[in-house]
Amino acid sequence: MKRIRNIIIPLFVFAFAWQPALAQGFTVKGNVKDAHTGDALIGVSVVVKGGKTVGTMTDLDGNYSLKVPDPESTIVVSYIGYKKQEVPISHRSVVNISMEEEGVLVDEVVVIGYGVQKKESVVGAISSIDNKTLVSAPVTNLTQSLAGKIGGVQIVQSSGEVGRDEAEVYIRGMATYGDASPLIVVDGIVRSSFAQIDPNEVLSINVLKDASATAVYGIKGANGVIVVTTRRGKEGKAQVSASAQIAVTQPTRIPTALPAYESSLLYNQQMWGMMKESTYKALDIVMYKTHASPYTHPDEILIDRYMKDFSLQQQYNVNVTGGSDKVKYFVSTGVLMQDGFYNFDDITCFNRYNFRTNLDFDITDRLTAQVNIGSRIEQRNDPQGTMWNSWNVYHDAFAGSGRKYPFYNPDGSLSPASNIVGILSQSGIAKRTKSVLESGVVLRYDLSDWVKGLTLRGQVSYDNEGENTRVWTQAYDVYEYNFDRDQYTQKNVATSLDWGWESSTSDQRLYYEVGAEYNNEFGKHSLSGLFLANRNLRLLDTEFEFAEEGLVGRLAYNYDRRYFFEANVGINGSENFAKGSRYGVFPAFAAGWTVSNESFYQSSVLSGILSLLKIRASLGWVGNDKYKYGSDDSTYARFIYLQKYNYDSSGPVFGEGDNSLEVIRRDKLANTDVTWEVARKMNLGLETDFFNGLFGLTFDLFHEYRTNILTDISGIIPGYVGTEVMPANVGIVENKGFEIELRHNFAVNKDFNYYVKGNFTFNRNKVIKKADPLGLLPYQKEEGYPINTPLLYNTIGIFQDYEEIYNSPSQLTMQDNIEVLPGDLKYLDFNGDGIITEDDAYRQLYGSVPEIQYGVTVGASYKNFDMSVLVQGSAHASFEKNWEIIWPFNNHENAFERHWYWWTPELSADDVQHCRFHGRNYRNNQPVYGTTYSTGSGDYVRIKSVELGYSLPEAWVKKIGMGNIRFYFTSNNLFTWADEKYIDPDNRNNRGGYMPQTRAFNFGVNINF
Amino acid sequence: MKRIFLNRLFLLVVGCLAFLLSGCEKETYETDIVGLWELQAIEEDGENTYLPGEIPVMLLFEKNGVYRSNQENTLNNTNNVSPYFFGAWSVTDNKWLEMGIDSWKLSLSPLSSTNLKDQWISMHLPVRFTILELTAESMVLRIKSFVGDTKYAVMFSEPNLPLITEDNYDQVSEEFKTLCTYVYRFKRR
Repeated sequence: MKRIRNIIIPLFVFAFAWQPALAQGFTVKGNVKDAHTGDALIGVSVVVKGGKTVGTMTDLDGNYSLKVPDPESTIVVSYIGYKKQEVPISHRSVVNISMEEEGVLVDEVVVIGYGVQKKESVVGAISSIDNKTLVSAPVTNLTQSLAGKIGGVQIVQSSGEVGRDEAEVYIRGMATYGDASPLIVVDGIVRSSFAQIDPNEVLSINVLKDASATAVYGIKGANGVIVVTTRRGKEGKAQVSASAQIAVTQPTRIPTALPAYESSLLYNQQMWGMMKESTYKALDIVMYKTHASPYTHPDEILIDRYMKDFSLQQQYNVNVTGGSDKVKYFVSTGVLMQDGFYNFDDITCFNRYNFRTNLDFDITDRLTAQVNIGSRIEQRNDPQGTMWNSWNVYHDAFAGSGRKYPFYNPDGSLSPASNIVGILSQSGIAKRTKSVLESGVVLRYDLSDWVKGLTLRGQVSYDNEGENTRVWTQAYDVYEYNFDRDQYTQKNVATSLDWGWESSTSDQRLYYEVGAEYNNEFGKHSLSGLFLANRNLRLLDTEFEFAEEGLVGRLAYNYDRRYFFEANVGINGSENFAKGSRYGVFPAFAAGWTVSNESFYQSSVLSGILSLLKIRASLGWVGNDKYKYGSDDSTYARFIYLQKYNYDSSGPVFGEGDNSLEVIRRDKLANTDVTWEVARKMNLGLETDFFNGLFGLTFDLFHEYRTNILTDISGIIPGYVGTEVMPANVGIVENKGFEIELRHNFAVNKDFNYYVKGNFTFNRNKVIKKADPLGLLPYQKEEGYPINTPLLYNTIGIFQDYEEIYNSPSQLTMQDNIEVLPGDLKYLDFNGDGIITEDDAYRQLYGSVPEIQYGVTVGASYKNFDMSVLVQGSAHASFEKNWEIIWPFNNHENAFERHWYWWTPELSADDVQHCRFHGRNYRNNQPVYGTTYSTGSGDYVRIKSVELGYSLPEAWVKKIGMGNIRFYFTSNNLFTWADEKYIDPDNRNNRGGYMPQTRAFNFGVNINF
Repeated sequence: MKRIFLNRLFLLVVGCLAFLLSGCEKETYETDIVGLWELQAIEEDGENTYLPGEIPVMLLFEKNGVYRSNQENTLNNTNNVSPYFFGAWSVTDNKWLEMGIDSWKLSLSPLSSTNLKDQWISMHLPVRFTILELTAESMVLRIKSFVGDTKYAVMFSEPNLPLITEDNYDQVSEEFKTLCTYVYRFKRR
């Protein structure tokens, strides 16, 4: 690259360098060089800002000379491969300039809590992901775009259902057994979600992980913060970009039932266990095998009938950015359209329309304003039978028996096997429209005339989220056909499509803040500060108004870009706590040392190798006031300290007859002493760059100790108390781990360059204290184990014969166990007492949130071609498997591939995939506590995305008046390798009823005008 | 030198192609098992228990996945005798042969009745053999099983169900708890 510049460009220098400046006035000279190597840069463009015809280029020695109209002018210096600079002349006759290559991030700013900071000044643990990375893969929601790309973030995506595929996001794992979801901030405002924001609107996503980064969020920052910043306008000509993507998607890892021949034989095997005669005689089995009688002996794999092989997805976006020195704008509009995954379903679709307008105004020299308007409409249509989710349809499709009824009766009517057809096409329609408005106005007033660097700021935001649901109902005919009698029995009666019901919800939030910012430099000293007060009001339907308020403070100091100190504080109040303990103070302190900026270091040999060496550390306290009732209930507790009462229109009966009285019942006993959880967080970080950015390594070691965790204590309340109670602050959890981020990029020559980025996160938490139920043994309590470590019997094998059963600890002592036979599961006698009882269940394996997640991205570009591959993985996670997903003929009448490898004495241990088919007795293999046998592994390695791109040659594109046209092909979730063979390892439904993640093949084009 | 090298390269390429193509034509048990087989020997834990001179046991595997088992010399119905037993068969992983086989198990309380039909429960269960050998001429199947599960099943002739009494109940029960490895040798007819 440099060689070409050094040879060819000088040919043009002589043409330009001798051109006189068009305007008379002040002459400025100088030298332009590479900031790192000190080499003179030849052919650098130096023009007067705003003066289109006043400019020059540097000569062979990197010198320039330019007559400018005004000694207060600003010159704009630009050069291929280097960051553009605007340098005020300020009456200087000599202005020398050092230019940084575009790969160097010294001056890059990082979004932090309530502001931005230069990257070099950041002493907190913050990781970022930029727009280019976000839009590279065709994700349908932003939570999926984080997987494998950012250190310290763990993603679990349990569902791939259209419009319901938001992933669970954890920052540094779980440090509480309550709600561990991070705080979401979009453009400076706390919001409930960021999943449905169009990726094309997003400039960056920053993840704030340690206390120094999150303390300003006080009572809400304990689980980490995800800060989403949307794009803004830039000064210059309007730049229009358009993108279009069409993707073909397919579900992956769908459990596929065994055909009728195999499943009927296995069903007989199950009947044997129940000491019953076989349901299917030899003739039945032969009929299934030969398909000789499809109406009496059908052989349907229902999931193949119901699931499409492929579904279509489209995404389009057009955005414009530009502006003048007074007004800058960014406007974006986008649409996402997803079709459903079921055959017979012309109704299901999810359409999302995104609009965003971000405006920046320089109203006066001192007053600036930002107007941010983000909105979207989410429309989803579903068959009425699947309006809440398609769990019942998907689940029945893979678990339902295809042996009992033909898919269609001889007359073409729906049979019980095609009941789902009725649900999908004739059960009515549900239409939901969600309208979301996220708006805000930010004002800044520069008070530098009075106090240099002081700015007042104020912000008001109004959000409105409304959802309207309209439902039409319908019923469908189902007939059961008796082949022998040629008789139809109606099982369900059809009705015509009719109006059902309508409902609307509304969620409004009003947020406002006022404060001041300070940024100033005094020689080598740099000081910045922030102080603001904020208040947040929320009206959710008919709920009592939500209210929060707080104060935020920050003080940051650095000396000579070598020593950094920072103090942050958040003071917040929460409605959940009584007066006297309603407000909390959450301070954090951080320090950093950029060793590589020390003069002794710069003169050492090490500086040529380790171009950046920075050490940072932080200590702080943050809080959490959220408590969720149960793991599946999305209801959060409110006013925990207040005693609540409920109205019951049908209460106790007094006397004889049906004389129930209207009563007011006391709800759970209030906890008047309740207060917030407090997390003490420590972080030690190391940032390095090798050989001027050729390699980079960031390492963070963290430790968190959380106390006062809001805990359900019903397990330790004796029954004779006679009431339930609100949660209490009794829990303690410790969480520690480390993160590594690596990066390497290299330009081999002007045509070919490549990069490698990787991240690895490990965290392990431990419950120090929790209100475990009475009667549990020490090794059965959650205390001492990671959160959600399951309580299980350890399956150590399968009994091969009766002798082994007699010579092993008796399992007849297990609750409700009545017999043990060869082929049954064998358990570890954990306490060594010679019998297997509930006392042998102990905490083992892992919780549902992985302890380890990692990702490696390899990318390269050669001339106009580019490619990238992301491999992402997860380890140390487990999930429960129960019901149909592991036990054959459980609740439904299907068996799956693993069951065909059922235990017999003939099969070796390596070949057996399923234990004996229990019939009369299921308690041995399905005991009260779970077993390691029925616990799935969440470990996997996935080729998360593959991208191939081609940009049309610049010469061609310019001929048609475009800036850049790029075509690309990407694929998501291409392959997955996992210990779990039959369902997605991210599945967290113990019946496997969530539709799995999808594999997508995406074709797209980006056009910049 | 160049010629020798090219010749050797040619031979190497041809050799590789032959190897690959021969792999493409690998036979599967599922096709080879189709046909008529005559039982030659039964070994129980290595001991031959099939006495010569008994009526030959014939096993016919049909291509459509149906098998027939018959103690007559022919399965052509020329003597108007129907096959005694039949069922469906399949091969899994080119390793195991499964057959749905009629079998009988002791009821929960066989001594509570003196009726054979109340003492024994009739079942049709999947039985899995390991295919030890399958050639154009011979087939060898192995199954490790409880004695009772084999003795009172059609493997491959009609079993003799005893009437359960106080005298034989323990012995018969014990048969269902005792493991034995059976090897069946067949000759293609």
